[in-house]
Amino acid sequence: MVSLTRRTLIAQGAAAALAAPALAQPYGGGWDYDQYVAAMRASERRIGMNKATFDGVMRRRDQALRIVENYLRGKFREADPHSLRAYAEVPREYFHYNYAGAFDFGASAYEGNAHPWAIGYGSALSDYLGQMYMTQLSRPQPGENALEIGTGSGYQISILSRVCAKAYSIEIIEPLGRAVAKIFKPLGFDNVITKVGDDYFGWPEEKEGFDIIMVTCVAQHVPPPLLAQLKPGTGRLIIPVGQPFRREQVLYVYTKDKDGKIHSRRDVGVYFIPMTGRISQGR
Amino acid sequence: MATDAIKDVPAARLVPLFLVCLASIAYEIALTRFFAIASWSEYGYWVISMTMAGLAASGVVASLFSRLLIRSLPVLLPSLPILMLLAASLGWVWVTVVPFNPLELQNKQLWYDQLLNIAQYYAAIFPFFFMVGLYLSAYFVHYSHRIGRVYAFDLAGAGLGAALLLALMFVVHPFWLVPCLLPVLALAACLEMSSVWPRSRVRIAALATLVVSVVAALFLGQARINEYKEVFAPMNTQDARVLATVTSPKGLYQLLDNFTERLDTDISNNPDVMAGATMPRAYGLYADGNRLAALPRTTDVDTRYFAAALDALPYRLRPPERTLLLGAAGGFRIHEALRAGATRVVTLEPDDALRRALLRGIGPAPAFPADQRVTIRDTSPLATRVVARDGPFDVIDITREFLGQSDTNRAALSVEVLGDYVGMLKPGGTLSIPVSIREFTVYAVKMFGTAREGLRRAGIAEPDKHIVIYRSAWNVRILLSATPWTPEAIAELEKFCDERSFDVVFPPARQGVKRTVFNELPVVSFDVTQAQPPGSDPLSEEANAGVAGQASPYHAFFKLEPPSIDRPYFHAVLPLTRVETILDRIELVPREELVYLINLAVLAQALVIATLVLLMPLMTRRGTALPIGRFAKSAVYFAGLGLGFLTLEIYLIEKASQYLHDRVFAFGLVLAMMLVCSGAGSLLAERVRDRPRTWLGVAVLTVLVWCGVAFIWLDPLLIATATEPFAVKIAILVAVALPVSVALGMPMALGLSQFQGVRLAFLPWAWAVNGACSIISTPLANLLAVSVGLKSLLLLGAALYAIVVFTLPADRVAAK
Repeated sequence: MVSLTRRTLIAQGAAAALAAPALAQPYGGGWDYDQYVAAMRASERRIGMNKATFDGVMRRRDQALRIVENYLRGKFREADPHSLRAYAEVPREYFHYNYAGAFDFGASAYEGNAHPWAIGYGSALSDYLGQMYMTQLSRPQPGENALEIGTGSGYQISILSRVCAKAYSIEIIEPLGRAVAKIFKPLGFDNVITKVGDDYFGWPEEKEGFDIIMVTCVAQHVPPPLLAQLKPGTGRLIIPVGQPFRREQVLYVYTKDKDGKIHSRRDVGVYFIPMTGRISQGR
Repeated sequence: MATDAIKDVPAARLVPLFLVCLASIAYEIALTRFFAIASWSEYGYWVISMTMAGLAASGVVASLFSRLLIRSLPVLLPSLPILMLLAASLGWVWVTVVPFNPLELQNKQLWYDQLLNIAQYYAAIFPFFFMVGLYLSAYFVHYSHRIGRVYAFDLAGAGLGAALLLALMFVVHPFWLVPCLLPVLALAACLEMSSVWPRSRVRIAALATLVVSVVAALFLGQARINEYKEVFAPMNTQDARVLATVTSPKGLYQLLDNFTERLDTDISNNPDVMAGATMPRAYGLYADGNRLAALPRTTDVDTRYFAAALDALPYRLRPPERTLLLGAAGGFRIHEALRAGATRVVTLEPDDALRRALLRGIGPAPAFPADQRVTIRDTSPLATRVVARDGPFDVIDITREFLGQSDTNRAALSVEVLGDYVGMLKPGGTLSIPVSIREFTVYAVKMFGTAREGLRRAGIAEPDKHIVIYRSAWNVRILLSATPWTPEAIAELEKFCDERSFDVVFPPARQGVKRTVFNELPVVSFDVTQAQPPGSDPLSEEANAGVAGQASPYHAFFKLEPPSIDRPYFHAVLPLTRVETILDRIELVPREELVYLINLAVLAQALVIATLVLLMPLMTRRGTALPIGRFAKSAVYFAGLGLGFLTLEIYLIEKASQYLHDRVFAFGLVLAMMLVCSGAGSLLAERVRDRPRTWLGVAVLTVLVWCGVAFIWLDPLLIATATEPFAVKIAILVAVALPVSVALGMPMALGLSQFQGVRLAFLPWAWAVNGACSIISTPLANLLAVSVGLKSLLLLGAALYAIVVFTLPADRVAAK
């Protein structure tokens, strides 16, 4: 309970200090069952939870917040307050939805053993620890903008949207992209902008480029237009590699130096659970 | 229905058995194809395991309840094919709706659900094969006095079933194969004699069941390509279209048009090197849902992007006048080579569908334009003597796509083959080898040592002077030369990499010179990862060690022995003796390695089944039980035959796969041929059953001599005839396999004929032991081939047959 209080204080303090987006929480405040039902209806999705189940999920949510904080601290020494605040503000149960089967599995959100979930159309909602690792690795800052290639469930871009000024996302799978595009507005995440279509060329309309780009990539090369849209000096592009049901995917971090040259680094921090011996020196 | 009263068995009586065996093996292969598409091919091993579990269980049940079985024959024989019809159809429907996600098997928190799905597969398939086994057992006990003849029909039916399905796969979509087989079972039911029911009633029942079964298979089945395969996302983009489909035993080929399809090659991340060029749009060619290649949309390709490509260096080190390509990358690499200055490009494209796409086009994708500088051959990359006729070459370029297309292509990375290719180079020429390091660095490390051995094989005493290695973040290129690399070439390598943010891996930097590492790559192993200081490149350390022939500094956990022609496995790096560590790190295991873990799982399961089947006679009542000596001899005899037959069969399948360059066709051909010829051997055994020891000796001697001849001369024969027309190669394979197959068919029939009278109950048991041990030998032979080499299978097969000579259970008990 102590750590929860401390975590809440950190999150609230950070939220106040870092000029978070106007609607930091769904509907600008609390998140209850009625709001959940209203948001699900507004996003044209079936509801699978009753109030009692929802309340149970909310109780697990508090525990999951502590798990995430400890996890990030274990991996990075410090848990980034922006990332933690974003996690606290995005109701994960809302993203537990299978679009191909048209069913809601929000009741299983905040599972004790974080793992990926199939959401249909060959897409997966990654485990929340892995997603939060990726979020902190990308070092999102207020005022920045982010681009995600591969919207999937919409959870990752929602997390980024809670810190960044604008969050763009492109999905190539048409039925998934069209359905997921409807889920942000009901949460009040108005700074999330999505589209369905060719992701190879990124989002050229955003002339200033991006501070953060996250790419779900299966190709042998990073699309040159994406690298071109990365801001020199500060831009970082993150690519998870490997099949989506591994909890710990390989992550590549690309940075563009001031001369425009690209450097890459394979990040194995998420790859290795803490172990004894030499593996423990992995990070 | 006195079992031994019928002294002769007309062929017409055995036709239903022949048809059931035909349908059952075809059903098994059809399921294997389904698994290859719906999940991945490595899961096909489960099917074999499920099949044999059903067959073995039926043998045990038939043995335990042999009297009941004999009493029920008039009812069982006509009704079982009808029930099989239903079981085949409903089993198929069930299999197609099981929500199996093979990817989740690698997640420690999700694998349990997938085990339940695999259990569903067993439940779906088991009844059909149990009934097939029961039906066979019924025939065996019913016609035990002519067991050789019955067994011959069994084998011949199975062999022709494999051949039939092979033929069907050329014209029928893999998901429609099972419905096509159902009429065969209905025909078996219609032809079955019945002393209980009028024949017309049986026929009406069979036809009605056929209609129900076909309707169920067609309309309730939900077979589809796995949504996690590469084809799924492109197929579900806006305006995506399938432009052409080709069905063949090798795969279901689909040509797609959608906005994601582009040439996919590793290029520099620095925009100035691209100079405004873009990666060309393409069509996507997929096989069984896996992306095979990008095909150009036009006959003219703007290849300016190639200046930024990782693969471009060999073409810059010297004019690539005479170039050999192993794989055309859908045709793009030929365009790139020509633009780079090649005046002669010889391309090996052994995959039929790809070669046809190049030569004739496929759908709207055009053929490669006629150009007298370009030759496209179907030659296997292993036929190096033939390939050398087009040399010597300035550049030999193995494309990334080529290695991804089949395991027979990957055999080109064997030490002997690489040595031969080095020998085809002009002085200063380059052999360029790609390796992916995106998820795992171990394959690159394995190739460092393989490249060294390849050079030594080519007679080069100091390999380190003939190797350069460089990389991007995701791929390594190893360049070999028959002559030492010059300082100018090394300088060009460094300049090429620096301009493109690639990294030089080998040779090490000159003393006092510090190289920038553009792509940091912490080495990942199963038991070790060490934090490296920024700017270091552990892969360079690995290359230094590998090229010098020293132990790997970071990957010692893995098996890094270079692949050879006898052990042509580029993957297979997991030390299966350390299975506990591997399972602990299961989430790191690449998909290419899963097949060996699946083999291990199937082997464990097979051992349990075989043990249960072997011990079954201990449960029988006194008086009918086998004396312990005979029990032991029988167990060793039939187990030895089951293990030995499959061991030699798998050896031949592997050899035929390399030879024909088509694994599925080779599998079908060898299976069909060996079963039919073994059927002939079984018939022969029927004629000589009065002198079983003599003829067993003759058969085993034939097997031993054949193994010896194959050990020494089979590889040279297959290499010498590698460029013969396909039909000639098939004839050669038939000629090679025929004598041993006939001989292999005899011992089983001779052994089974020893169980008569009060020992009749053990006939299905003996057959079940043989089947159960066959399940053991399939994964065992695969694991042995990977660990020791293919020739070890010949030795094992020969040893097993040598043992059975001494264990024939020939103390015949007279029938009473």
